[in-house]
Amino acid sequence: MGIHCRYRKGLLTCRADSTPKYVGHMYSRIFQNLGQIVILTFEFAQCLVTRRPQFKEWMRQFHHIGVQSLSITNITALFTGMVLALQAAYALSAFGADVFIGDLVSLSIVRELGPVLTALLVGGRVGAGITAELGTMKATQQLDAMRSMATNPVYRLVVPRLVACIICLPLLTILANFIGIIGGLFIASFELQVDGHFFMSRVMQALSVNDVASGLGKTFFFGYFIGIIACHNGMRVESGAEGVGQATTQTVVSASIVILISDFFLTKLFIMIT
Amino acid sequence: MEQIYRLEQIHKHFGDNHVLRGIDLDIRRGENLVILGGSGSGKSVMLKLLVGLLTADKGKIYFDGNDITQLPEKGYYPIRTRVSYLFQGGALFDSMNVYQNLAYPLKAHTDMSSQDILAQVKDALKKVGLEEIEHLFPGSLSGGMMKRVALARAIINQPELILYDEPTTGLDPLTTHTINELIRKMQKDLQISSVIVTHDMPTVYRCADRLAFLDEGCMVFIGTIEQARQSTHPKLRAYFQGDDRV
Repeated sequence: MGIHCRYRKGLLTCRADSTPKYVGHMYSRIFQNLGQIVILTFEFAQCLVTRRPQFKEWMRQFHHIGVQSLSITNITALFTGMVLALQAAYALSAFGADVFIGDLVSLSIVRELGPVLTALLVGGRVGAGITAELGTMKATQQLDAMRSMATNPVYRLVVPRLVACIICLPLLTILANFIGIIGGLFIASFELQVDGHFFMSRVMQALSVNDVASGLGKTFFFGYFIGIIACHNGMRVESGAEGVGQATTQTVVSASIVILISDFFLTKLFIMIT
Repeated sequence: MEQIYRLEQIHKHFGDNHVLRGIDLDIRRGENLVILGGSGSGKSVMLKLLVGLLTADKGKIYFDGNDITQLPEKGYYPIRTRVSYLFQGGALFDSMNVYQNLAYPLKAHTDMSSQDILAQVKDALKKVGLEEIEHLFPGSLSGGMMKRVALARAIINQPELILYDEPTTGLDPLTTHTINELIRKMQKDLQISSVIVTHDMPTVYRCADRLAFLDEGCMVFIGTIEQARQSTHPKLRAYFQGDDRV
């Protein structure tokens, strides 16, 4: 799309689409993808409500998506909490306000950094994996084989993965929040000589139920976005290895952008609600 | 002979590429119909139209006398439980072992117990000459074994018709012979009809009761092998005479 090249009589000539044509093509593709995602969501909801759950497959996906993402999300949360404590001490000590390190670390992690960083990491690791798996199945006609045996690939493949994404992301975020605060406590205690009990009491005072709910509420949406984008891109792979590679990249890019954009609107929404 | 499928003036496009240009064809119960044609002539597209994996742009497809051309996805389910499809690469699920691959259609469509499913899986594998490989994954099977496992999966729910998409492509002559014998055996022992898409002449000679020749999206010949030998169509003659100048 955009640039068309032709090799003729030893010469490679390239012609770019005019800007309006290029923009038109880009927007039509975006709306086409959105339409397909809406249809896939309806099919997912229909299968979830009307078909018997495949608990064994769900458990397998919980393991892939949840358990196997634990190390990457926890390490990131731990060091984010530690860096945040260091930066908070640096900024707050100028005003003699370093007693509020616990407040700043906990609120930043629970309301924003925990959910968003976890979603971005899971989007990269799990989203790419789902797209590559489904894309390879599409390219090797395994999806057609499922259809030819009168079975529904959405029920067999999309439902377990999407359910696992929606359920695992909040759970991973809860753990990441906890570990991020522990990272902050570690730095506050050993590096900044803040009393551990005092740090934790500030954390408990600073955090309200609304803070936790607003942070965790967003992760259900992030989980849905990661799962649906990954499944949609995987099931739409057109060609072989190259197509799978492109779809995988597309998933990571799209999921990251959608998470960051939706975070703004979801934050506004939760602030309005609470 | 009784018709299973009837195709009337089927057209299929992919963008500017007009792949099928007005196909008329009958598929009869009890026979092996071989569809011969070069690469890109539209053979596999035609097979996919029969079970609704693709839909025709124009024309009508009848299954048991009922028009199935524009059915919704679920409308094809009853047909797909009666008609099996053997894909070119086998299309075995690579995350499942041989047992799970073969058990997949049974678990999806029957309430059989695990013991009955295992017995049926073993029986299907025996029919294609494979035993004690239930625990293996597709990645550890040879090309010929993969095709035979795929054939076992295709026959496991006792279909009336199997659609073979280039069953012998990429296989050595001995394995090709084995697969061709199996196709004949399925027809003889299990009374399964077949539509076999190929450009492999040993398969034509061994398996065909009737031959259709597809050239650039048009069905240019339908008849027996003897009639095909007498055909004056230059490309069809080239297939039978091994002439590569056409």
